[in-house]
Amino acid sequence: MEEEIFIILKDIQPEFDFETSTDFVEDGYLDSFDVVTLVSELESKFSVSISALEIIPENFSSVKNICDLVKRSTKISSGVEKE
Amino acid sequence: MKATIRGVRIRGICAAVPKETHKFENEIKDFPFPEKSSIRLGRVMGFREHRIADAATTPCDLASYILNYLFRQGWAQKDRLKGLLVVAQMADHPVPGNSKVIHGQLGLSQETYCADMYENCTGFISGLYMAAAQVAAGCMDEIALVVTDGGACHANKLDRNTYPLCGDAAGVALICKSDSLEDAMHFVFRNDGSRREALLVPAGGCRMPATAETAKPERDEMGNFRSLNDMHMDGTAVFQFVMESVPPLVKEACAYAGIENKQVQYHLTHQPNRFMLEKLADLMEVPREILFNNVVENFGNSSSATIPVNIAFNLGKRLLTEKPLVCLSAFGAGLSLAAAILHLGNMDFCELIEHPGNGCILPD
Repeated sequence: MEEEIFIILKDIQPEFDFETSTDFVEDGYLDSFDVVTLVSELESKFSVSISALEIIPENFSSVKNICDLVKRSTKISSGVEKE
Repeated sequence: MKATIRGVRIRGICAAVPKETHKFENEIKDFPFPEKSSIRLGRVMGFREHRIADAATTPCDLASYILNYLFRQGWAQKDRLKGLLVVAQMADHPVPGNSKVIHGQLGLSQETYCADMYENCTGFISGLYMAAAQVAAGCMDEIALVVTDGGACHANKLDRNTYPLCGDAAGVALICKSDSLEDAMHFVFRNDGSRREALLVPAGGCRMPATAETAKPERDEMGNFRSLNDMHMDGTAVFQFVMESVPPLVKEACAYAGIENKQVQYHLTHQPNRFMLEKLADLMEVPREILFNNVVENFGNSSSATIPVNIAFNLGKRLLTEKPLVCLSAFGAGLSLAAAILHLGNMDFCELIEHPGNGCILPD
């Protein structure tokens, strides 16, 4: 999953080196509108629904945090949401 | 603050948007970002097209055009219009207020009461509360609530975070007395001025007058350009405020009105962008079909005018013969929140019209 998330991040912001950043938001790699795009891409790629309350900077500060967010998000299967 | 006003109803709603359509696909080249990135963001946010008034058309022109349309249709009588309450964050002039400009443009009676309210995105609900209170108090049988606004003049064309979502529009709601017990409006308002910097135009007021210096655009760390005269938006702070505050506000409004949340047939919200509204609907456990999110992609976010545009665009014909229980809600600069529960419908008119441009206040 980490590799796929790196690909998405590079696609959203090709000019930044996400592999060396310690905090994507603090380092200015992702602004709130990039986060919106990222959420949409993650939801589509991993078939999840990310809660609005989870869309906070801390959850997008590193690939590990993004992975954790995806893993605890609601899985969407055939249009039916499952916990 | 909570309040209930009884014996008052909305007799009709008409909204107007400029005829001129600006396509996001044509604006992409102006933004300092790769085209692919802008297209992807536009798809999520609902950036497709928006209506921006030409330079000759002002907020008052849009409003006067609607009122004149109502007079010509016979839905309102010029000589019987006793009150005009105009809500806006933009003004034709610093002095006099918009209501006096509209009064003069339309040649209204000198007996007509005119007042102005400065409001942002919660303006329609705040104005509805004030207008309904005046009618309920017996001050007048009917009052025209006018909201007229737009974000275009506050957004820098090189700021992809604000310009694609803004739009110009106006709306008029006629508020009148009612004998029906069903006609009650339940309002809840909340404000948090400590968070006012999350949505701010720093210059142009008394605290920082606009100068040549404040008009100079500067590039932010992500690449957008804006000057101190332009809208500054902390997108993260606004998003969190809305998600944390609006669901409990709506619950509180429903409880205050004595209804269950699921009894609300339509959630007619302010329209900031599609992504935020989809997430809000999911969080409130409300079907996306009854919380419309299509105003930004068709017209743009026109601040206080989005609710009448939303109503007229999405429910126009239906509200001529039906009267569903609705929840109006709005949120924005301040930061502020407002909600109202009411039965809305069986109106004499509910229509969205286009303003032809060039400042025209007379329909064809």
